[in-house]
Amino acid sequence: MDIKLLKKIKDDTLKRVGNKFDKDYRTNKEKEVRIVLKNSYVIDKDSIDEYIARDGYFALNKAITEMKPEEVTEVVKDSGLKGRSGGGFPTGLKWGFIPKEKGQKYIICNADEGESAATIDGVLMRQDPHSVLEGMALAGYAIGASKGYIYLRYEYPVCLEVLNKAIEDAKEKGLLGKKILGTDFDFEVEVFRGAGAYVCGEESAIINSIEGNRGNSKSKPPFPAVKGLFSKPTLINNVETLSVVPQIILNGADWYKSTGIPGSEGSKVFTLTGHLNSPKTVEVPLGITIRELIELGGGMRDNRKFKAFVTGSPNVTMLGSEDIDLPVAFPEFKERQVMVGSGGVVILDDKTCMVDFTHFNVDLLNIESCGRCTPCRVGTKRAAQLLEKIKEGSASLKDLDKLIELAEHLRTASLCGLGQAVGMTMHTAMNSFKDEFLAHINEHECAAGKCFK
Amino acid sequence: MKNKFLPEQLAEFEKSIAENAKDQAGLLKSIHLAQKVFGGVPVEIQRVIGKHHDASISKISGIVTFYDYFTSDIQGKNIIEVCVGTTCYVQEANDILKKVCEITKCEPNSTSRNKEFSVVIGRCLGKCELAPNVIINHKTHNKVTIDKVTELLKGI
Repeated sequence: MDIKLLKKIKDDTLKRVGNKFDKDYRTNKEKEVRIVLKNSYVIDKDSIDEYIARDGYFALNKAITEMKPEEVTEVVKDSGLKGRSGGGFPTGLKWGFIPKEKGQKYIICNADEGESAATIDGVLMRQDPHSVLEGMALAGYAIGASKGYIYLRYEYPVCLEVLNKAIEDAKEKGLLGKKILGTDFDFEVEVFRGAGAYVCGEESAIINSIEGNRGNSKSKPPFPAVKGLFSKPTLINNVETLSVVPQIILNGADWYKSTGIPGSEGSKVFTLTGHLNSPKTVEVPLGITIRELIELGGGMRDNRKFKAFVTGSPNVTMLGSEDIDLPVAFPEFKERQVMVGSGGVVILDDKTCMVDFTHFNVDLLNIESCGRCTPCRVGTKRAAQLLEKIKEGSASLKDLDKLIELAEHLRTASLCGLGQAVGMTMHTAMNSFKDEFLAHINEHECAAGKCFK
Repeated sequence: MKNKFLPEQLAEFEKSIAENAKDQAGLLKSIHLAQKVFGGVPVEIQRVIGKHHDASISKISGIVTFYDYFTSDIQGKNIIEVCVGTTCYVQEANDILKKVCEITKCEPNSTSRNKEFSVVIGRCLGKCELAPNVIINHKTHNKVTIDKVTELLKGI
């Protein structure tokens, strides 16, 4: 395989499919964009030719024939791309942390989309598997890794089939495997199935899981970039992050920056769910307001009142109705200790009791806590008990103080993101819905009628 | 309780996991295979896996009990997975779970006495736009209501 053959496949396929690629499934062409979801729902997921016809693998060719590995990292750094799985850490910076020395290194694609309500990675892997593979190969070239694992969550059996077929096809065409595109670059990809553990979306827990251990998180440092999978330098990126890399390399950093707002460059895919008229997956430029997102989801169901905007879950962070015009962007959200999250958005109406909702999530996180560190293992348990007390009506204001203190301890002292985010969950809940918590404790009043049964 | 396995089935399983044992990342694959072939990973099977992977039984047991999809009991004939992820929860998935447990006479995350049913609590099955979701014998049903799930369970 070389660039000539790649171009020939592109031309032949374009002739064959006619105007199939002109299809546009967006319902709101002004607000929605198509960058990450460029190929989703448009190409045949099983056809590598159709992916190539959409400029697929041209970025890989450009990188390994024209660019040095450091240049690839530099372009990603310039683009301002941030990790799309919740933390929002700059991707290029993460790539730069990997030591430059030669030797075995690994790429892990984090496809353990454990956040309920988020189905973005699932859609991408089902609809456009090659973009993920190409992104992994590009990352592999940039850091000098020759092996990649896709850590796929157990609940996605269809993705497993699609990805395995895509890997086979790419190998057959010489786009993965040994001597890619006739150069000296080798890159293998293997799909590794998780087994249903929420904490295994955390970097060190994934590493433990692939190594054949319980999915406990490890203390950092050493960071995976230095000592990761099988004690080798390892880069871990989310599916959505990796799948947009080929387009950044092909079109340049400035092209990517033209979408979104400064500090939150690019687009983000959101799964809009909850009490909406038409829950769905949309891709929007960052910086869009919460109000606009609700409108894209068809507005509130049964004309009820909007109550809460919830990102992520069960590690939820929430905003109340007074923040409806807040732009969805990394700096703005960080200021309020809210995560942009992996893209799962639950919109809640006024029939929902926020104390009950918080209790549900904290209780679930208590079950999912790996138990490695004390703040998270004990903290989530105590928090769930205190919230239960509020729900029953036996709590006092002292208990609320305890909860606030506990949230702070969890946020600062937990070993990994799971425990830290529980602190954020409780903090944002008590911050945005303080009155509701107070009404529960002082007046034994639950506006939604869920508690005190 | 003692579990009995066919010798041919065991021999074939051992052959497969001997392959996995050569892979650095093979242990979880072997446990996955056991769950698929036997419907669970009881102590007898854990011992077999441990022998090939050179791992202690306590380590394997630790893994089996850690991950939601591994069970140390053999699961029932029909597996019903009710999603209680956040989106399903806010749309009353707990009531559906209660109903399923009532019909199948099963506690959540356990197997009924007659080995007919296993009820599993799911944590997001990735179909949140169509919540609430229930998987019955590997087939996903969307927008489930209590009436619908009663109807579906009658069908088995």
